[in-house]
Amino acid sequence: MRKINIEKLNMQKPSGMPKRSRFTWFLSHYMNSHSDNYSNVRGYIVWGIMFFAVILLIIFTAIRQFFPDERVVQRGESQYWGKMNISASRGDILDRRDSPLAISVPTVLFFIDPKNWDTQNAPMLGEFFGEGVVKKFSRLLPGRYQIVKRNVRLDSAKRIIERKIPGLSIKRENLRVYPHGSLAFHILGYCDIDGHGQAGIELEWDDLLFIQSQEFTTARMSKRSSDGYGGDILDEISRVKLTLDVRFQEIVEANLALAAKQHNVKWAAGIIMNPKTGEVLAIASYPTADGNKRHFSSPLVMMNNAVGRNYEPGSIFKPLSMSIALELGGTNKNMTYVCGGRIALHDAVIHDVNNHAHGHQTLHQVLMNSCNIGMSLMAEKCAHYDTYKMLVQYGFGRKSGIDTAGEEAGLLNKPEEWRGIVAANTFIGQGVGVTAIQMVTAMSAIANGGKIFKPYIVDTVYGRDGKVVYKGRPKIRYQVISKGTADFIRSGMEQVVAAGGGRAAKSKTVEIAGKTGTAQVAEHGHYTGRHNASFIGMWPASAPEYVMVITLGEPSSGSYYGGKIAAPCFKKIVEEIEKVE
Amino acid sequence: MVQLNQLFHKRTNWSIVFIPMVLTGIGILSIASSTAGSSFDNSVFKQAAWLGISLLAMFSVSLIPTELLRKWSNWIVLIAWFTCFLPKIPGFSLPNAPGGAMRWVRLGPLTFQPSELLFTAVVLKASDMFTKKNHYSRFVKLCVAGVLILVVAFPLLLQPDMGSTVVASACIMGVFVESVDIVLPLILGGTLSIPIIIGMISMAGYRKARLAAFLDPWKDPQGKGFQIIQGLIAFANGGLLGQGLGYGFQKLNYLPAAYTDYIFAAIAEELGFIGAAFVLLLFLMWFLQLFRAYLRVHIKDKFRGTLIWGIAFSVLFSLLINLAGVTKFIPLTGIAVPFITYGGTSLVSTWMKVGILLRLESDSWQVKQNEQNK
Repeated sequence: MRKINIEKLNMQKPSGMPKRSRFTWFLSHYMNSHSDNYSNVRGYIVWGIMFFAVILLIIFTAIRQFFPDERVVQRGESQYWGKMNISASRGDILDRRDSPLAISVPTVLFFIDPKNWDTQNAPMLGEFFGEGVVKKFSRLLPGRYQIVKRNVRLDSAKRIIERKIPGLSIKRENLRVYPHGSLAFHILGYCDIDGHGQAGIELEWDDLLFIQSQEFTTARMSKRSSDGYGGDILDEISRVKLTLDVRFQEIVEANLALAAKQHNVKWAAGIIMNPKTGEVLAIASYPTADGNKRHFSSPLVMMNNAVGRNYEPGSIFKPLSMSIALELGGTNKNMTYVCGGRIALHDAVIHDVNNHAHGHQTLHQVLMNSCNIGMSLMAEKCAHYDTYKMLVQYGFGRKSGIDTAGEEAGLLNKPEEWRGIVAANTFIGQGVGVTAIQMVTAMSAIANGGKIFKPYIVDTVYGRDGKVVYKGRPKIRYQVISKGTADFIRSGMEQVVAAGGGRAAKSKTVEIAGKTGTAQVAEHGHYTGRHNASFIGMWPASAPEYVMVITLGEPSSGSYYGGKIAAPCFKKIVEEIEKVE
Repeated sequence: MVQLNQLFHKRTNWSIVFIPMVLTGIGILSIASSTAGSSFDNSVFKQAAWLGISLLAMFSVSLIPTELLRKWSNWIVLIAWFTCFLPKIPGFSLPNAPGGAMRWVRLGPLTFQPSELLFTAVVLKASDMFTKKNHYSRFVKLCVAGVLILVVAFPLLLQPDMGSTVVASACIMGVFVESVDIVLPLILGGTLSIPIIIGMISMAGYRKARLAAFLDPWKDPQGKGFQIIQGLIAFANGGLLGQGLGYGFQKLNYLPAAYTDYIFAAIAEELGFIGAAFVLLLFLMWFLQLFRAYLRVHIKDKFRGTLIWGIAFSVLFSLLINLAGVTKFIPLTGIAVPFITYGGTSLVSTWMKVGILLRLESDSWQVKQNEQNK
């Protein structure tokens, strides 16, 4: 640039001007500079301002680049690298034959980032999501994440995605599906919409089944709509394999529901156990619900009556009492009892049903007649402490330890409290509270030669790497009675079905051994007019493979006797199972 | 074929054309970078095509003798003024234009923003008016400037386009300040600012809220403050050396209009302070070249001197409004960065200014030569 010589620019003081300071001269000169005879100081000033303005812009830029606001830095660092949670699929729950009981189905979640949503597009949503959604998204919404619809199955989602609605984003997620609907609901439990187990196996094994959603670090797009925040998830999922057999479970549940409706019962329970291992093959509770729906009409359906309900067993308890009497020497196999229909014991009188007199009876006949008198006489001969000890070994008065939630311990009074006819009542199944799982576990000892197993329902649990994390194994707790005693009782129960009170369970396809039971429902220490009808048994009678208990709680139409309503149900289940086996 | 040195004075300083060429190149590069992957093909090739048209327009304009421009200045400003009404006329208007306001005119396949042409026309007319020899006092001239501003602002306010109104008014005042008087506007501005400040303090609620949004965008970082904050993030990301061309994050749809209003922020992010300062130094160099031309003519040929200043000032003012807005030193208006921002009208009209400046540069040597020959 050339150097400009101010002196040359015609800025000399006009000669006639009075003497003034340099500044006032400059000012007055300048003020007159619009006249023709001027030197253009103003030109230098305005150009100077222009250059200064550009330099100022450089300074502005430098300030923003080198000394940014801390909030700007914070936001800049956090906004691109979004940690996206990919909803992982949930582990499968399988039955013993690897048939799926609970699986995760990939679905699509539709959401809208209101920042990138043009409310004029809202009517396009109507076709797929209904008018309510259109109304919602016709307004400006706050936030960056507004869910339109969750868990849309892939086929319908595809149609929506193909429409390419601007601003409608998708995210992968999974829906928990129970392919058999309500089947084994009380065991499986259910999940909330985020895939967290809320009850049953789903809750107990949630730590393993819930595959922690994987974090994906993605360069987040702020506007582009259809960029799904997808990503690959590990294909391997954890699996929980149960001891349940779907076929057995279906048969038990169907027949239980049928009987329940037929007799208008309040509740019902049914369990099939493998007596050689303690595996639970089927476990049913009525009423039930469908885990797919997640909305339950009443909290009552949540209760698992097979493990969570205490009830008086009644006569189905008698084979166990008799085995205790045999073991303790309170009776022997050749003993006979005379029944007059009623007997006065201590401070009370014990009746048989309708005060029916059974006359002379062998032990087997006591079972066949379900004779309260015979059982009471046996009880009188047994030491209380020893009886109590054996009942505890059978598993009463404490939780069986089955690996499902909501188990009750039952009710077994301490022998110190066994005054008067308490022992006799206990022997005929009154004044004790049991659960169905306790009954079936104890009865398995009769079937397997005297061994008490710990019942279990979880067979194997595989981690996501396919390795076995947990393995349910048969666990013998006690040899509670001798094999001889067990076999003797079993043959007695065989006769109960063949010619005794359990004739209604007699089947042409397979020999069944069993025992009926009808118990009054006690409330606040008094018996009510309501009853629980039960049948417990095993088959094939000579070498039992299965032990099953069926209890119909408080039937309110027709008969309430175990032999009349529970035994036919039992038989039907056995015959159907024999068909599929 | 006519030789170039017959058309332009042989001492013509061609950097007046070259520097804008470099700036436009940087603009196309950064448009390419910030639209890569989305609307890349469209915007880059469009802008390159517009550069071709711009160079043609620049050359054509540079062939028009300055005296002729001055003679036609009344007609030029009238035509430009009337075109500014076109966006309001149904046949020409372009509905659903970006921003919602009606600032665009449609002529067959072409769409353009007439206000861009008006800036140049107004500078030309104001330079003509204020450098004419007459005996009117500067007060009268200031009043004339005020009337001119009102007339020019009318169609722009009708659109409505506040940014363009401000630029057009500033252009007129810029010319006035250079050619007539600087003290009077300063005093007037100072006097006016007192009621304005009082007015601002006692302002209506919603205006207060909008001012607050500018003063503190962090109150609503996802809403009203989003754009301004994202712009600041772009600057902060840039640092000294930048993220590298094509490696900016903000253009990933964080920075709305990364290739229009916020292109300077996008440049600052990708090329860093080095790149941003380089762009501004290019502008500074260009203005210095214009200043040199100005010095050659400003005593002897007031009109030409004032016109150089006025056009340079109109370019500077757009730059100033945009950059100070983007760096959040003043509230943001939708004024383009000259030569760099994507958009045909802005590019062509800015290059037409270059054409006029090139003619003036050539003239300035002639004026100097004549002076020396005397």
